[in-house]
Amino acid sequence: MMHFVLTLIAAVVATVVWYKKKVPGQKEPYKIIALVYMYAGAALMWLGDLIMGFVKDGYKVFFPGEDATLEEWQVFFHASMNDVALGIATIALGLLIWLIILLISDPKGMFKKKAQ
Amino acid sequence: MACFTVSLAEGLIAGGAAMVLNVLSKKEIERRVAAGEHKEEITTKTGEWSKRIAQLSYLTLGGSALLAFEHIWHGEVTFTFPFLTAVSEGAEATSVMLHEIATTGVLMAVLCTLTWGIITLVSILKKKKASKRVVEESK
Repeated sequence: MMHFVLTLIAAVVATVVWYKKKVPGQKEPYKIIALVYMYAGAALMWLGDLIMGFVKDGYKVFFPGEDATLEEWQVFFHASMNDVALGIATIALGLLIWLIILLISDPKGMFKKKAQ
Repeated sequence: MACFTVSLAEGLIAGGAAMVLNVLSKKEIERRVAAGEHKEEITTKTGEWSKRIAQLSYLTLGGSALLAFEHIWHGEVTFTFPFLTAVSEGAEATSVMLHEIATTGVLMAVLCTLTWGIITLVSILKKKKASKRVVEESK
């Protein structure tokens, strides 16, 4: 679940940055919209996963329950920590893909100038 | 297990459709320029829908890329044939995978399409409202 929360936060931040940078009627040169699409798409898809998990396992998707044993809590904590690491890695991958898109589109023409 | 494949397929189909519409739009623009219209002033319905469908493609493909990474993280997707761990584990695991694709995968694709549909509908309504205002002001 934590990877969904982290990706959702990333999607919201990317959308706010895109909205701030966007000038109506002009192309946004830094392609921040690519980040918005990636994070929003992933967040929506993980929301679907979460809904299906809730339908299948109920509230145990969010926390093990009040009657859970210490062992169950440990398993849940370990899985949550893994989810946090996955969320951070997903955000990093999104940034890496965005960087590649940015370098290919080369909005300031840095590589074109060097080639000339 | 491989739930992202539904959205991936949707994204590829939407991307192809957007490309076809873009080609049709360019042809229409060429025809209208030949008839004497200014290129900058021409907007086509196919061009508009090409952009809108491309947005759906970016949303689903972008999400699928990050979800594919999640599946690699969990060891559900590998870099060697048959690429899906469930397929190499036998018929029962494959059946579970197909069930997940049919339920979670479809729900993921529906959520993405629904969100895109709402955004598209709002943008169409806003555009209509703005053009109505321009017509009223010109009167």
